[in-house]
Amino acid sequence: MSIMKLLSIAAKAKVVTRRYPFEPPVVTEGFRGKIEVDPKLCWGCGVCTRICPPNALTLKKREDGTLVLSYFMGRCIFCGMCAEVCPRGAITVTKEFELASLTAEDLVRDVKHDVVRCRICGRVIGPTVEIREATKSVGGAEAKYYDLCPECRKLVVARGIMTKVGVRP
Amino acid sequence: MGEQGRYLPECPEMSEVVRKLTEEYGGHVIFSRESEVYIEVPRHELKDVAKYLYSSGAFLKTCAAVDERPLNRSFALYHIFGMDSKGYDVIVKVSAPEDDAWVPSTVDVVPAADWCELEARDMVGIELKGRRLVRRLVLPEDWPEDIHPLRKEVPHDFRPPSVKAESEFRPPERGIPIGPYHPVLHEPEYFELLVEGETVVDVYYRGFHVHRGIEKLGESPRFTYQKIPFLAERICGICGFVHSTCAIMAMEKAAGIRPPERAEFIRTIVLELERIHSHLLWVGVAAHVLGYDAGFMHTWRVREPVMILSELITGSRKTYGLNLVGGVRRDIDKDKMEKIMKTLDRVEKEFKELANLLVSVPQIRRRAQGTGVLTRSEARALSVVGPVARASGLYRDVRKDYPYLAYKEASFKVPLYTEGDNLARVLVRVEEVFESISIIKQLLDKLPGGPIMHEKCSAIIPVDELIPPGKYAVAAIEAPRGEDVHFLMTGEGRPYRWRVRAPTYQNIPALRPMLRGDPLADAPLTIASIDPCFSCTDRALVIDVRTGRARTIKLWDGGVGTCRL
Amino acid sequence: MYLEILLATALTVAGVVLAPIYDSLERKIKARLHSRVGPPILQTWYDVLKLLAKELVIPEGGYFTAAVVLTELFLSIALLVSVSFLLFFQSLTMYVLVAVFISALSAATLVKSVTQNNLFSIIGGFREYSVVLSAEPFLILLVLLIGARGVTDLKSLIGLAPVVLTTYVMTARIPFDIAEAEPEIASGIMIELSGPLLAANELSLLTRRYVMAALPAYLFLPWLIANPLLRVGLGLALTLLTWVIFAVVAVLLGRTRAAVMLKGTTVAALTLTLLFIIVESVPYG
Repeated sequence: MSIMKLLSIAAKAKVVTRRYPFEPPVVTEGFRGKIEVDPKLCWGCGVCTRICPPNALTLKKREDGTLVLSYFMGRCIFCGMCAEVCPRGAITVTKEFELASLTAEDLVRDVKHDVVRCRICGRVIGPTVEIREATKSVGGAEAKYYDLCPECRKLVVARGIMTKVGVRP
Repeated sequence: MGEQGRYLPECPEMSEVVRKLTEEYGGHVIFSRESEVYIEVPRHELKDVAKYLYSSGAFLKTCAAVDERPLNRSFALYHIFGMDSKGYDVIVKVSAPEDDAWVPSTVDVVPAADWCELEARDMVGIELKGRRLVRRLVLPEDWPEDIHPLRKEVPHDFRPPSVKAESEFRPPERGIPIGPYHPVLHEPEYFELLVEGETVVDVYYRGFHVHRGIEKLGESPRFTYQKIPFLAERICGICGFVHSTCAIMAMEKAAGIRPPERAEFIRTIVLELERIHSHLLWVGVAAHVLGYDAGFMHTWRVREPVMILSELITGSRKTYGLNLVGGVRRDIDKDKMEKIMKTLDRVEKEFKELANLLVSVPQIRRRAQGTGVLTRSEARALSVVGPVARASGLYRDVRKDYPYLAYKEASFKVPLYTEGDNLARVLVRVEEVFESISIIKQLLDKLPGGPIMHEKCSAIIPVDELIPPGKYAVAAIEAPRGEDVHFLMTGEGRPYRWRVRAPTYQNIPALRPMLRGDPLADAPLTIASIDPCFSCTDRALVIDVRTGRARTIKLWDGGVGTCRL
Repeated sequence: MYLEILLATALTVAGVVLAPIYDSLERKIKARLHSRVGPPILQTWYDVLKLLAKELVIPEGGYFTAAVVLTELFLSIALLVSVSFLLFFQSLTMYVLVAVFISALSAATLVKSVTQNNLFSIIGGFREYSVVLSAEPFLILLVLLIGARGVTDLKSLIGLAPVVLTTYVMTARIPFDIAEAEPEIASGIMIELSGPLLAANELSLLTRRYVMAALPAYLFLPWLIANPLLRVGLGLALTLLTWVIFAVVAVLLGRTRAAVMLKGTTVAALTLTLLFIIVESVPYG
């Protein structure tokens, strides 16, 4: 009666299922869950939005002029590519996966960024943090043009040179 | 190597084929690489060429239709013939000018070309000449006549206007519907079994209910080479890593780069892990179909550590996200190696015990033996792949025939049975589990050091520049269900054409000879025995074998609970 | 007399209440053998109550089906009543009544399957027919034989073998659940049932299972044990034991095929029944 072996197999294996969700889930240390974006570190450069395979991360311009890095967990495939490419290390992959919610809005995490507008023409140049940090690393004479868009900057610089050499712009 | 133009390969048999095709059939080599040669032949010679190749030992891997009008004002059909015993592919191209878009059908001489020809007609709109049965395969019947989704002018997000079509034909007989929702088919798929008493006399099949247009999506601006591995991984929920690796192998071939050895080893290890969990899953399902739920539960219990292991190594239980062009994203360290070894030892021991138990259950033995028989000649004619082929005495295994990645480094045997019945397919898979365990152990022992990513590639560097447009590549991998083929024609920053041929695509046509004459009770087992993966395959077809007439059935004819007598 | 009637009535009520609980127990046993936690002991009752609370959906053209489902439930309870009384009243009429109810219940199940407007149900019906054919005639014969002759000797206990075999087949457990065969014909004979109708179907199936688990004990106990209270106690205990054994057997086996089953079971049941008849007809001493 070799079919009776089932009894010994079952006895050896004991009970393996768990009373989830009444017990905590088991995930290994290698597990990738949802991501978290640290608003303090994020510059809003948008590299992550370009690598994201399902377009779960998007960079949106709001009407009030702010820039929003929006993370929609409903699309996320938890590949963690964004964390790998983030130049600021602002994105961490967590082990959290119990993301069910009653509304789609609960699945969205936004990181808002103020933007710098050109002080002359008013066009949006980029996120404030990114511009500020970039300016710091450049330093020197360039720094004073940080709030100018490339076009206006050209104009201002040209005007400066012309004034210096004595030509009236 | 890899140069365009007239080029004769060094492999003597390959040059013999090339000589024959160029001299006798007026073809010319358009591209070649060490294990692939692309030859364009005049379209009127196609049937003879196919006959010559198929009778000289080639299997048809698939055919791929390409809309090349933006390049040369014509359509093209690439037949991919695999010389399994020699280890190289002959890709035969025929062109059809846009204003006279037809190619001769080869289905009379190559029965395996049945589906891919119809798909070419549906998706690219190439007419098939000399074919008795012409019908829609992939597209639903209410799809507009003149829109062929893989033509370049059709946008990837095209939605046809909604129409309500009534089917013209109704089956004269009343079949027993299996699907589109059925407890044993875990995906929407429709079989209709015609029975006399409890004996199946004929089978109708219709699929492609979950066609997701992944090939088209891969060509769209939404995707780049960097993102396609993640898309490819989602072709299948079970053998996703196979698809992502296969797509990447095609891209790497086109780029002319080889990932570091360590990356190849890691890919091979994960591929084999995937085979283990896939086969264990299947064995469990087979036990469930036969009413032996204890076998089902315990096989899945044994399988669970493999899933946990996959999560540990890759970051996810399934759809690992491990692969990138040029290498892998995660390394296997000492600690993980130990865990893999320990888990595999346990799985091996427990599954041995379980497999012995399974075949000792009288109902399993009695019902699997002698049912769903596929003879060797039928298997050969349809170019079936994987465990289905190997259970019918057909020695086919991509790992041996076209050694890729690190398979050369491991010694393993390919289980072969000649009975061709359901039991043989069970046994092939059971034995393959143990072979896979042994392969992983050997590879872990030999795991070479070094980087896991090619120096020219990384997550941040776009690989687009590495992959020039206008290149061809065919990659094949032995998936748990059989040979998986990806055909790639490169474009600007993304594929120009990316054709995926999943193993089940090749195996479903074999179900008809398998099911006919069998008891109805065993039909679900037989259908399950090819380990069908419908989301990989998804396509549709209905044939009346008695009258030889093509016809279509509405999805809801008998598909829903009320089937009137 | 009054005590016996009271006890029999109590046994009937106990049967109706216990059947779903024993079913949960069976599921628990099955789960343990599958290495699973399994459901709580009242799970089947929860399921039935939930189904009863759902809206009533009569399948297309299925008023007759609905009527038959309820008839089936009535017949299964009637069978339970007659079997419970069998423990205390051993007139041949009682045995004939039990035989008639067994037969009527099977007939109702068959009618139920063919009235449903569904191919799977019809296939299930034919399969049910083969199950019934291979076991029921022998079970009825055994019931009537025991009723007519009584159990006078311990050697008559050999009759337990065919009784247990045929009652097991009649419970429609694996390997004989081919009329339902979820992976093959998508629940076959009950495919069109849902909500309260499915609950009624479930209750009648479980009551039938209870009767079949009780029958081996109830057929033999009255002839062996004189004390009615002891009879009740033993009857309840043995019913539970039989149910548990049936549950374990069902886990160990796979599902059979109609053609194979018909032959195998018929041959086995026939042989065992004949053996019983031969043993019984040998004179004492």
